[in-house]
Amino acid sequence: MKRYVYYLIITNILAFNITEGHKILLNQKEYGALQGMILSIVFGFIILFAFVRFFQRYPGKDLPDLMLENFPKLFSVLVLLAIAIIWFIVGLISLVTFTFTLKRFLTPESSTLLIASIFLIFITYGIFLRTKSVLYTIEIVLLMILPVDFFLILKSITSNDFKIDFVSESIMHINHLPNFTSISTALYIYFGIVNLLIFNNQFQEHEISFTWKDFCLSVLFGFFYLLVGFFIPIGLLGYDNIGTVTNPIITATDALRMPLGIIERVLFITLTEVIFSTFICILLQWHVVIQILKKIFKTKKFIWHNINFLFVAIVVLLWGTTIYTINVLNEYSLLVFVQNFFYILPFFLIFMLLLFYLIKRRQKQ
Amino acid sequence: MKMRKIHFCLICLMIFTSIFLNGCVFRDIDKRAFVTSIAIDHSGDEEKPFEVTVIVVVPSGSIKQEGVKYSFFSEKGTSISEALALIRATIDKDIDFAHTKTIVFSKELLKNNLGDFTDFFHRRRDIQLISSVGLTQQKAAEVIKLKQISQFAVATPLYNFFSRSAVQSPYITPLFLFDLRRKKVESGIDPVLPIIDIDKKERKFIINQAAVLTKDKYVELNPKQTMVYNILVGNIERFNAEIKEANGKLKYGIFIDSTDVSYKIIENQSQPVIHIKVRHQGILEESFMSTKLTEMETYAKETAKVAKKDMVNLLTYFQKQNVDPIGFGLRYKATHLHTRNIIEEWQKLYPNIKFKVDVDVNIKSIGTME
Repeated sequence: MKRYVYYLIITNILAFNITEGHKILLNQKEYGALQGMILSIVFGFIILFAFVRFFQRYPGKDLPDLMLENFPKLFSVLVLLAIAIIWFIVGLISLVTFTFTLKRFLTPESSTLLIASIFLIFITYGIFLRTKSVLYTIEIVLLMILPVDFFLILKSITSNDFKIDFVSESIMHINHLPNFTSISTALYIYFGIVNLLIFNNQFQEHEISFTWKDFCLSVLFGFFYLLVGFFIPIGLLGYDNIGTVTNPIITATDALRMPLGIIERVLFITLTEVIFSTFICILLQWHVVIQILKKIFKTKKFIWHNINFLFVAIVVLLWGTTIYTINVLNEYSLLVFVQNFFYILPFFLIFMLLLFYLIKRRQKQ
Repeated sequence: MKMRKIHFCLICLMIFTSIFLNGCVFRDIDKRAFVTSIAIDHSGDEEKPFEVTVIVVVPSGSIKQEGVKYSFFSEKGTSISEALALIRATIDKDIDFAHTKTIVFSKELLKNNLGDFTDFFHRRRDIQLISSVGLTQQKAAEVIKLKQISQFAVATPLYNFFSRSAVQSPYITPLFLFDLRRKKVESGIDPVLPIIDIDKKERKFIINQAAVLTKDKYVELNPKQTMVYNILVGNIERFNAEIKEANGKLKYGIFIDSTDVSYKIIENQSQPVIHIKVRHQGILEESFMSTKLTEMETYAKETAKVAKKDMVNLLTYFQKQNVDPIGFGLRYKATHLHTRNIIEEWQKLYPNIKFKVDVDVNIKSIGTME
């Protein structure tokens, strides 16, 4: 069962390089992105360690259970709602970025509304699955896309057009001290483990025995993908030029060729992979949101004629907010929004650590 | 009763999903005009300087009977996109750039200082970044219109020259769109575009020259310089070298089949030096004199001497013209911690730098006879 915890972590790592995350880091290439990335190893380790060790202590229980047990109801509901909203926005960012990407590269002539709706239909079906089924879905999809992903990375690094000089030029900017943007953005890659706050109820005793080896492995994997998202676009598109590119990773794969492959343009393989990884990423994050909401509103008041109106309300809310945001945001405002949203994450992390400490103390009493 | 409900739902779902079956993104293949090459010329008109020509492949039911037909469309405009918009109004199909493989610019455009006219191609998402770019001294439209004698049915003629999977020649400098962009924007490296010329009578292309493009000028390279450049940057590993006597008579020819180039910028002396190491490995291919197995090392040394001279000549030529197509400036930036304005420092250093070239030729065999 340990591998399912890995899947939670990996899914978020994959999504980082698709959403604006790596773009923000690349924008900070002269403002300490590299040092920020290196620093994020430490923070990543703290996040992983805190979450896994805390939830190992309470097997089969999720955060809403623990909170409702130990704190007054109003406080718990407010905190859980805040977490749900933050986690909803995380998923929303992936979806909006994904819609914009697809609109630009795959189907420029269909409306964003249609792209988002088609995707939302599948997502809506997915997030109401049982938690176990969600985990199985992720496993299957990851098994399909991880080899493709490694192939793409290998393909870009071994390409003749991958210029090491550009990469080492960017490394020469390592002396810049990191700013808050680069640290908070790099931190996001390790946030996959936060999903454990719901998924922990699937792991029974002794099932997620993470050892030091596992911690190091997952942190290094995250760091590796940070480097991939940073250096592959630079190596293929040039150091000075990368600031002018809006979708670095996807444009970078367009610079690759497979003269003897089925498709010469590697871009389309990347796009397929992007669709899948965005799907599982949003699936995970919004499933957590749904589960938290389910735990908060446990009453049966909303059920009428076997239809749970709570779910209907949630779906309407999901669709409404998504479609509204897609219409309102453009590419630049999305970037600014994501960047500002990432500022919250370190505080979110500190808050969670505090919460864990409090729960632990209450449980002891 | 319950089964019926499920069946009803399934049927509804099937009908529902058919909404999404639209084929080629809401436009069928017979309503699309696939552009294979684009040519940009200077029209001579001040107001509408760009003359854009596109080749469109006309789809046919069976290639065997009807053959492949191409049609050409040309319009003038103040910008490339305007000209294309005008072309759009002349074709009864929707222009699709997804299969565009070659883009040819005429040199007139560079002379007229029209700004960054390649911007359009980088900005559009459906033009592949792996399409190749070339310059021409003639009219670009005529270059792409040329139908070669050796041309197969469905093919983008020029692309085979640049795709690296067909033609392997040291005189051809392939340059892809993304490469052009990154070298253009980056300080410390300049793009080199192939110059494509045509022989209309013989219906063939002549691609053996190149031009270095900088922000404000361009420097042309002759065929020999183009070849040495391609060897130095690793565009080609296999090529022929002719060793001549003092009176210009051919002594023998060498075929090099593997090349390895590395360079270092050394500056801890009073005179900064770029030290280039080249390793060639090859065989003797043709000789006008009797060759001896024991003499192989002499041949190698002789070849190395000739190669060294050519390389130093080219490098000093670049230096004199103040262009940097090999990317020494980029290497300088890549090896110095960014604490000051590195590129400015390099621009002061470059005119005074000396080149030291070490060529090591290893001749493996003299062929099947002595």
